[in-house]
Amino acid sequence: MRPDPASPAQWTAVLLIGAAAILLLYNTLPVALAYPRAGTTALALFSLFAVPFWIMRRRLADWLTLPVGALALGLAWGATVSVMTSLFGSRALHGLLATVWGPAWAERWAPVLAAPVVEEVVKAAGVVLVIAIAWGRVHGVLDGIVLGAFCGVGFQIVEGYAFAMSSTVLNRAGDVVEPVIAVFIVRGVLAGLWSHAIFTAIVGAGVAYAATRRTRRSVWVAAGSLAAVIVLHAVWNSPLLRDGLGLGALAVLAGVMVKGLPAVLIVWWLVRWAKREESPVMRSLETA
Amino acid sequence: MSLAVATAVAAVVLIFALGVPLLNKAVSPTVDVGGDTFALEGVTVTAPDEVRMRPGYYQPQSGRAEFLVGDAEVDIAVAGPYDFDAEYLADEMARLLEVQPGVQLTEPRDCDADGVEGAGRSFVTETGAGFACAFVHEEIRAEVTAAGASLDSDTVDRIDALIAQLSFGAA
Repeated sequence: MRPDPASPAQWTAVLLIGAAAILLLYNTLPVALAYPRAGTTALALFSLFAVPFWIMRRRLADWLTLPVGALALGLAWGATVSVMTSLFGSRALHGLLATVWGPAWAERWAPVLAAPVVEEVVKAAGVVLVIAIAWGRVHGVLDGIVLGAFCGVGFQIVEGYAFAMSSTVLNRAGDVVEPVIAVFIVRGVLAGLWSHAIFTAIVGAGVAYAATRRTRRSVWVAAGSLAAVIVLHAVWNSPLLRDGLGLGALAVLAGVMVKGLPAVLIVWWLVRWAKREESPVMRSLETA
Repeated sequence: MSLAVATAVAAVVLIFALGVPLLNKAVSPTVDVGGDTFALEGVTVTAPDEVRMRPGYYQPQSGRAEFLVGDAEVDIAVAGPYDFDAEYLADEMARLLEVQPGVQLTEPRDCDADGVEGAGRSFVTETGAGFACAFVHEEIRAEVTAAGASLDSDTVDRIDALIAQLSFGAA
């Protein structure tokens, strides 16, 4: 994947990622400077999100043709454009919902109705843009799954970092790491696996399916994958089962599993399906 | 194809990053909340006359409310339990303020809410001025941050009147 000054898709990626990165730094740097110990810990811990997906990429390497640069671009899109656009868009949709249905209703339901739409659509747009930039280098659905996972994990790292720092600031107890670790346990360990990376992997599968099959039906499959992850994300954000029906910590954990596991199972099934349906890259080269 | 995709993707981003926020500003005008009472995690505040608010800026579950007093934005955040005193809380608020681009802390200021004495810090920004007040009462903390382009004495008096309406333990 080489830089091409004549490519509108590459220019769009560079300009939007650049602008969003500046906004992201403007928003996060002051807090990181005020709480350096907490900031460093949060960055180190939440960067670990990338490790399982890097391992996933290595394990699926025989089926992948997308260059590492494309995955890095997807990660950068997720970490910058998706995060900042979601910040502005979700906040504004929250305001619109509050105007129509009142502030208490909006506070409860904006995370269910607004955030999933904005976040999933913008991450999907990033996957589409990267596939357009790397057009012809997409071998199959697994390329899309891995690209989507990288885009989602970029979002997840920055979002987790932001939540941890926000918790540190709200704690108002100095530059301490306890709030960061608490957020990491909740968002990283309990809720980390079935979050943005998994959602965007599903969309990535749909987009890659459309990009490689190029039929009208495949475009509907891609659109359907986006609609599905918006629903999965909305269910995940919903207050449903959040209190474990009042039955204690194990019930809360069971609620997390019930809400999160379907997305993981879908990706697991998609990977198995793609490995069965699509030939490995080396085999197809040998055949050719 | 590259141009079509680039245009569509840029349009999606611009719709959410600019279009929806502009629509929100257009259809969600500020409303006069003078006389209304807001409950924030163990603290209530009754807005004096001519205090305004944008829809969505009262978040009772998060203990936050943002009011508009003249041109100034007044953000109130309540949380608990809190084990430190008001002076420590004011220092923590100052820690974050002084690393904001263009913000310079000036002198301490007096803050008072419903008989609860707080600790305050004033600051100037590149485009205006502001102040922060910290209160701690029975392990409940309330933070007030006011900032505006022109914090004249009349506006400051009105903000102080809003702060004076904070009532601890009443919610």
